[in-house]
Amino acid sequence: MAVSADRDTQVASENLREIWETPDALSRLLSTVDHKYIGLRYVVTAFLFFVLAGINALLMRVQLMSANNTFADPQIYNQWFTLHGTLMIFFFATPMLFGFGNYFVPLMVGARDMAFPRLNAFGYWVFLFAGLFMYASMIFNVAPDGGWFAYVPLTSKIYSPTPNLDFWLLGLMFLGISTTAGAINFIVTIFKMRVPGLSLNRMPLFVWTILVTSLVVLFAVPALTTANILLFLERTFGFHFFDSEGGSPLLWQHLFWFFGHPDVYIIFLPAAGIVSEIIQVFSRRRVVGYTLLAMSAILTGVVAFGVWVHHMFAVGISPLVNSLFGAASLMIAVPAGIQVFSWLATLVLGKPRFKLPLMWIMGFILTFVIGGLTGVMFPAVSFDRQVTDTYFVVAHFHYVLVGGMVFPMFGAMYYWLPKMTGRMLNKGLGYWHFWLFFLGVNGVFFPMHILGINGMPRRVYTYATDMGWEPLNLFITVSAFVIALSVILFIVNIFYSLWAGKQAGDDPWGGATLEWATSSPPPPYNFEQMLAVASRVPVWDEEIHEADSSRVANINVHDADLDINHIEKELIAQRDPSDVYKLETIGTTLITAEADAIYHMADSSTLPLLLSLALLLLFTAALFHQWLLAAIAIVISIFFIALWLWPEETREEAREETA
Amino acid sequence: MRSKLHRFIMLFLILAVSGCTASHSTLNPASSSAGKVANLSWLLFGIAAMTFTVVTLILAYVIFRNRNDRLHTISEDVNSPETPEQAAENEKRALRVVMVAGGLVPAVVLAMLMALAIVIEQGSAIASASSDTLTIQVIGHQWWWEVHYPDQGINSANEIHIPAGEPVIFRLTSDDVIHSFWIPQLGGKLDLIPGQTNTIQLQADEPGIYRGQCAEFCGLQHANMAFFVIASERDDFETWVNTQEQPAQEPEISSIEAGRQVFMGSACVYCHRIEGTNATGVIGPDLTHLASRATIGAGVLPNTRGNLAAWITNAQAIKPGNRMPPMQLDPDQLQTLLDYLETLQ
Amino acid sequence: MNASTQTSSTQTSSTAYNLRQNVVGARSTAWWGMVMLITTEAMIFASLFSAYLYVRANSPAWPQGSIEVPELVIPLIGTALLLGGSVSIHLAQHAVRGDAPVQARTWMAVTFILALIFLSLQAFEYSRSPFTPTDNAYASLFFTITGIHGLHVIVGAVMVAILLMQSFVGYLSHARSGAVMNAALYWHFVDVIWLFVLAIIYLSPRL
Repeated sequence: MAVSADRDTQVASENLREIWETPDALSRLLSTVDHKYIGLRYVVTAFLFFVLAGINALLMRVQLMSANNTFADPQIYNQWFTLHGTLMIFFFATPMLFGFGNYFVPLMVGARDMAFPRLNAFGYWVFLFAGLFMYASMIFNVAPDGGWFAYVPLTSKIYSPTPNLDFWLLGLMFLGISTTAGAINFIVTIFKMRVPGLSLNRMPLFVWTILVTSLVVLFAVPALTTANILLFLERTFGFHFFDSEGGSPLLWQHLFWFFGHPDVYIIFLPAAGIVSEIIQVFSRRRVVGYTLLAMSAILTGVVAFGVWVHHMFAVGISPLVNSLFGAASLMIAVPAGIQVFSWLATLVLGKPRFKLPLMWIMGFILTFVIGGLTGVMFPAVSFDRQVTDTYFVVAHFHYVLVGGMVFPMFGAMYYWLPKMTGRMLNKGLGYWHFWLFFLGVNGVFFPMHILGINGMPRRVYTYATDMGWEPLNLFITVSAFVIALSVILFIVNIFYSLWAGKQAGDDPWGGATLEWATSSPPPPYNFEQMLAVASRVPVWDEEIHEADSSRVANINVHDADLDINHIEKELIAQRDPSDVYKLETIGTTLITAEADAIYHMADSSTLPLLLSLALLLLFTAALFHQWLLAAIAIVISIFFIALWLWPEETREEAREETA
Repeated sequence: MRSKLHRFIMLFLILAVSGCTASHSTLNPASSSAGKVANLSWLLFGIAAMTFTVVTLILAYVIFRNRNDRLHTISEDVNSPETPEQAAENEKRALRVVMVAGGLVPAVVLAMLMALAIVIEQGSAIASASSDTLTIQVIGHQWWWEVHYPDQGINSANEIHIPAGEPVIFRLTSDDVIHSFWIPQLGGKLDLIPGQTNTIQLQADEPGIYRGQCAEFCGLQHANMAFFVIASERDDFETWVNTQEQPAQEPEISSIEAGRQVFMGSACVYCHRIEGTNATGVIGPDLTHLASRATIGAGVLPNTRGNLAAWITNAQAIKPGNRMPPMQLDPDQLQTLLDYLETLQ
Repeated sequence: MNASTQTSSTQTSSTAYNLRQNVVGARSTAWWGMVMLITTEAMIFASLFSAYLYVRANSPAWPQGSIEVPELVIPLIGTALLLGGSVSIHLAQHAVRGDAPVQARTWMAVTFILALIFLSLQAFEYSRSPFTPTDNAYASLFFTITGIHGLHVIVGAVMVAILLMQSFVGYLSHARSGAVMNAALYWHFVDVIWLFVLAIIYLSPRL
């Protein structure tokens, strides 16, 4: 690099920092719209809910440790398992992956931020408040107790008169706003904000899976929201949808599982994207079957909507319908099988380095395959009707979800946290964490298959000594504490790494995708120069170094890209400090990612926080049936939305005024 | 007297059977249709184990092959020495393997399994039921099972007697929330849904006692919602039917009559029914033949005098949240009440 | 490198890329955001309609109880109002694209007023309804679906109202046409949903 270019770069980076950073810590706390802060907040908050939901699980395991145990009464036990499932599914799994998505999708597509930065901040605040709203029920001892799928009529007013279920319904409606906002933001970011040259067929697989997941969210979550609205109306105002006044209890199940089954893929798909990324980097080989993997994600997302009835094989639907849905469910096995074998082929053909992130992915493959193999058993309706609603199902979906999401998540933690914090995690603690977790998970969930086959139903708070279930349950409880220990080691590791971790450098692993082409942690503006890429593995295809810290400017500086840099510089040169349109970035076309437009990005603002607080007021008012207060909250919300949408002067208008 | 002996034998049997760990296992079938499902399960487990072994072997191969590999730079690793043509050819071959191993093979195997499963499922469908097939109506309640034999006019609870070796049709519905009717040794579960009647046909090939259990979460005492199916030879079954068809006998002894007075004079009558008396409640189980049943509280306790006393005095301590309120009875009243209840054979 | 960036590589000004600010339609993020919002909202209505048809399929008679099939006069007037609103917002969008802010403001005001009339009619229909939402599942579904649609009309009206307010401070120009386009898009969506409401809630019980 020439000296003059270096100086240019330095000037540019100072300018960029001034433009993109929210300097003051307090206002950053309340008003930042930087996707990296928001992503990190998502990850930390979701992890907190993972721990809280995990504590519920441990309490359940203590109760089930022995037959006829009196540690918990059924009332509190039912709250524990309902909140465990609800928190894990809604407040941990999806937000955790959205957190990684928030942090890394803009980096991986080379963007300065998400398409709607304020909406992004809003999504986080709503997630946080919805989570606090939901967990408050536990603190006041009125946590939801109808199971995470809340079947009516058990959850109707007659059989569940206390507000427990209202917390659940309102909390999930509230959260749905966040999930939907996040999904829309991802889709538009991925469609329109990729750097020039990053055409659809070059997108990193993690970005692909986040895209598909977001689309699935848009189609699936409304079914849950609708079901929740209907049940809320029934419980609160005496409407009839599910009860004997002409309604149908099975309507709830159809609506819920139309959401619920795709939700499994909402959780699994981004995790599969993480797996593809880590396997590629640590196998040091381009992933085998890039196109197959992307197509598998799409196919999974589509088929996900045609299988919900397989959760309802025991409700008395006709055998023909059951078999049809069984057959449709089996179709999922094909993309899943192709994904697994693509990963295996990459490992076989590559030169894998068994560092911690890859170890977690190996753990993922073993665990997830077991979950998948039990998964393909359920479409056999007669088999399903024996084991559904037993511990066999509990074992199955924990293998799928812990295997399919938690293992990749920990892999992503070891892989990406150095990028996020600039510090490496400790290897020794990491190995202990991995092995204890791996053994603990299998120790907890494998025996559950046997318990289920031996007839132990799920969601029982106690069982009799003479059922013979006691020894396995004791073993499971002990294993659960092994998991707890391993998670504690991980938390210790995080604090240790923040305090004394090795400096990570820009690219500790030899990464392939653009997030490794900037510093760790990345600057507020992500990249000093607008990049352009011509490869699926841009970092590998250009300058391939081992941990070189000064690579940023070297990525794919083809001649065409100089123009883009020129544009960027021109944009910077045109700015004066009072210019409200300082946050600008380049938009590209949907498929081929050609430079197409200049986008004005929203500045940091407290409005997302204020609006989500107004919504919190709305949902709290609805919980206590304070309709006047709810109306006030709506008016306040509309006021904040109007403020939010209130336009700033365009550059032309500003010029006209000064002229 | 005979029936009392009968009851003790049955009680003993239930305790013995439920003490055996296999009594609730899907892999210990007691009917041919459950047997087919058990065989299918073993087949599925076998295929799963084989697949898992293959994956594990591949991973083991990956790990051991790379153990002593010289460390390359990323550049050396990523930029393989092969020409672009070779690389493209290798990629194509790898893709072929992936598509076959990951897509085609599972698709074919699973399609075959699906066909087998459908055949089995249809085998368990209701055969053209002849008019003399025994039909039993089961109504789920929080948290007990109401059992009717409509053709015989028998009402019972938490205990289902069937003839062995014959198909029996169960008509299932619920009075409150959704429950699920499941006897692992006899076959798959089917839900009891309010406003809907689901029908399932089951058969116990051999006489025996089979435990059943609610399988759909139904609230506080979902865990304690069990029942027993007693399959006996046709003759024994007929005998049982004849006994159960009788209304409760008029007490002949005055002390028992006093017990009946306690029952009729207390809140019991609002919830319980005793055929042939003024007690016509329908909220709780029918008690006409309470003493002939082996357990109380939906499989929670063996039906002994002591347990019954404890249950009447404070059922909440035994099964918290159930609908039976604690009864305030002085000891004498309780004893006479128990005397009376024990006559309800 | 694809062809278009190649050819422009000799140019040095941003115009070579035709990088424009204030883009609208599929080139803008806001348009895509609105399309996605509409997609997910459409799924809410799809769920509601499915619930309606499911309950109907499981009912011996429809409408349930002694409820009569809904009358058509008010909903047909409502249809005309909403379609009129679609036309006027389209004209507003056209006007703003042609930098005719006064016309645009007028057409938006027309849309807003049509929305208010529609909502008043709906309130009138509710007030003279012989049944209440708590009567049975049919009644609940009728009020819930028409009510949630009504809420969307309110949201559309609020959008137009905010744009009107902006127009009075002078923020209505070609450069701002994106916001009007988005409001128009939302309005057309509410309209299309209404046609489904009309067909399923009002017409289909007569079949």
